[in-house]
Amino acid sequence: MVTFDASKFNLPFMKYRKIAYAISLTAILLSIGLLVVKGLNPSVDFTGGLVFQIRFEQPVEVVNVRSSLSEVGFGQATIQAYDDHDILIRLQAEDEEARKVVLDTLKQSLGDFTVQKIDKVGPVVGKELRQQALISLVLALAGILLYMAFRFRFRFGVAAVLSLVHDSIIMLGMYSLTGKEISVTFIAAVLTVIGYSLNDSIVVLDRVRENWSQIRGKGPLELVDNSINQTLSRTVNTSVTTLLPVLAMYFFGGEVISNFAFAFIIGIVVGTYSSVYIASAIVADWYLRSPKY
Amino acid sequence: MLKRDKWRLMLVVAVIIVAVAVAFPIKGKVRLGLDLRGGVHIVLQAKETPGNPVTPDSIDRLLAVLRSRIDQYGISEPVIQKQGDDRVAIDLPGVDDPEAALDLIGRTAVLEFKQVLGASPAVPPAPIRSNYDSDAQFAEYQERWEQAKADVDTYITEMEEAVKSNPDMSVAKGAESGAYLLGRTYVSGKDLTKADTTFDQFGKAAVSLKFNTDGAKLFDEATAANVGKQIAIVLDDVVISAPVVQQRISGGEAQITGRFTTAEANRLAIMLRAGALPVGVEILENRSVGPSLGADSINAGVRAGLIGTALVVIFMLVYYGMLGVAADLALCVAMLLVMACLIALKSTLTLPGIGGIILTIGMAVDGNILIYERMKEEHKSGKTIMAALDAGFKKALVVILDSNITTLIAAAVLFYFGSGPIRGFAVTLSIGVVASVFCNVIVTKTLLGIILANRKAQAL
Repeated sequence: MVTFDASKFNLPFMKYRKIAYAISLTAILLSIGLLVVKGLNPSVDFTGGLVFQIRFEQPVEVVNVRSSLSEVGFGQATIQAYDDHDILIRLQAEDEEARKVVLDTLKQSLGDFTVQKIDKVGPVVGKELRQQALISLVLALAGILLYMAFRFRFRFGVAAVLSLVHDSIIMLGMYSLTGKEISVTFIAAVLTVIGYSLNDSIVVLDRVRENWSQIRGKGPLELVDNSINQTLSRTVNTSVTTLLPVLAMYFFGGEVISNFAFAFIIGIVVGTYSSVYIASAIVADWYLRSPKY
Repeated sequence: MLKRDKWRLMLVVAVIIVAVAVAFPIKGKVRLGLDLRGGVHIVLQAKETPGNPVTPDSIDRLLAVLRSRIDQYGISEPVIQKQGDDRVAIDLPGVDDPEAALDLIGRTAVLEFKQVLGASPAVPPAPIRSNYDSDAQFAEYQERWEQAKADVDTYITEMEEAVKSNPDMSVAKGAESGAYLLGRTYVSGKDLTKADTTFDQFGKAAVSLKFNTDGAKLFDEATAANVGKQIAIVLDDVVISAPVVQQRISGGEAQITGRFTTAEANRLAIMLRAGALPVGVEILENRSVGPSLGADSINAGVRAGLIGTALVVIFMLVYYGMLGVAADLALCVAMLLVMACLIALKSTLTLPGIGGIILTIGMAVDGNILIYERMKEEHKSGKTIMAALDAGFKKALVVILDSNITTLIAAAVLFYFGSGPIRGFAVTLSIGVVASVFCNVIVTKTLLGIILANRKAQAL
């Protein structure tokens, strides 16, 4: 039944940890750079505004939609085409009139359509949703930290937290890079991924702890390497089995779910890498600098 | 089979039977969120208007008027609830025309018949490019039209300046363009007893009104005083029409004509019957989903779920063989339990909720993987297969609980702070986590106990 046993390979992970640090550091710096320069693309949930998803009966071009919107003063709207019938329009407008004006204008110039979706978020609600998102991020992180403080010894906890911070920054960087929308569902995805990617760290670090009695003979690098290799097949397999349905969501789940799945894909991939490399390498290097437990 | 195993088997069978009884037939049993079945979600903020303060009493009256409008409009299963002190959240499932619903709910619908003292000139219709031969010509007319519009605007501003010092006069915009200088209010919507959709002599939709005794008397006086002059019919400070009074009308009946479609006239009649909103409202949030988009989302979600399940099932079979079969069966039980719990707890399934379920498919087998890898290690270190099974379960349990607790922490926070759809995600995720732990620890163990005991398998 055993088709494959990853621990047999005994891969020398720690040998390449400096390279991994360099990659991670670069990714983090790039992400922070992107966040500063390009920023994120918050959805109407947070900015307030108006989104229409419209299915036209006749094929339409984005250019035509834009020109007819310009006539009524909404030339700066974000217009996106899913296909030649389906258009997404996003604009910053507070009053009820804007909705009617936009729909009337489009009907006049581009023919009949059905409104698939309207999202209108007023500035007050946008502000509230921003606050809620912030509070839930802080609370969830606090909860997870508390749990880890109770679960891990100090150094292991710090290592796991650092790898979570690493994951989160890179995830935000990817969202900045791709310009994907930060919506309320993104916050949900981030929190879930943070909770989830901790699993891999727990699996690896638990094994390090179990093997800790061999620290004098093997030294931290070999010990960590052994631990990673012993747990490698479960780290990889749990990530793969979670990734499979998430990929199915990304490719077949439709617009909203696909956006949601994107966060999970990044989170799972980066999270798996960081719990193998970042969390355990930090534990090993820390011991090398000050050999305490 | 050990006695303990027998009990466990009976527990699993009982749970499955109950779950099947709850969940089947599944069609129509799961409560769908507005984002899946289509509908309109609106949050209204009550706004103070002169003379109409926002008080608990006015909010109660607001709810009553809204309920009456929505009921008369014929929407089934609406949810209308107070949110905080001065907000109302409304869910209207299955509404085809969100625009109409918004119009029905968001309009104050204060109807007044007012004296007309004067009117601004009307703005001519804006030029449309396709009616002109060249850009230059179009630009010229465009400019001329803008000039005319600016003139009218100045005129209106002057009118507004003029009435500032006079509380008996007001300026109201016309439905098409221009504005009217209005005098006293003769009679208002409060004095109506009936409002119905009808058709005028040209076959156009109109609303017929019947006043109560007081209203009839006031209307009679107003028409008597204004024969040959205009009376403005003002709805929410917009003049919908200003007909010239042909003769005195004493029967207490009137008709409002304007540029309505039949549907619009219908809504206006409903609003007039249900009464004006006691305070102004502003639409804070409006999320409308058409029914076809909702159906598309369900189909896409189900497809992604099935594909995801198939991939995971195949992966487990290929990688773990016989153990994989047990994991796959446990996965099916987990999915069955998730659906049964959703139905039993009457939770609402939302689009992110579907995402949560699909995510659970992947996370459910994680527990199996942790157990199996541990079993392999134990077996390799020389334990018999049954001993490895026991040790694998025991040692992996801690890690399984760990990973699921961190996920539950995140889900709990999301449930507490999230709104509608996100809450749906938190619910399915939590249910999924609990169901998968049950299946990892109890169902898989039972299945493996049976399989391994019967096969006397010697290798893992």
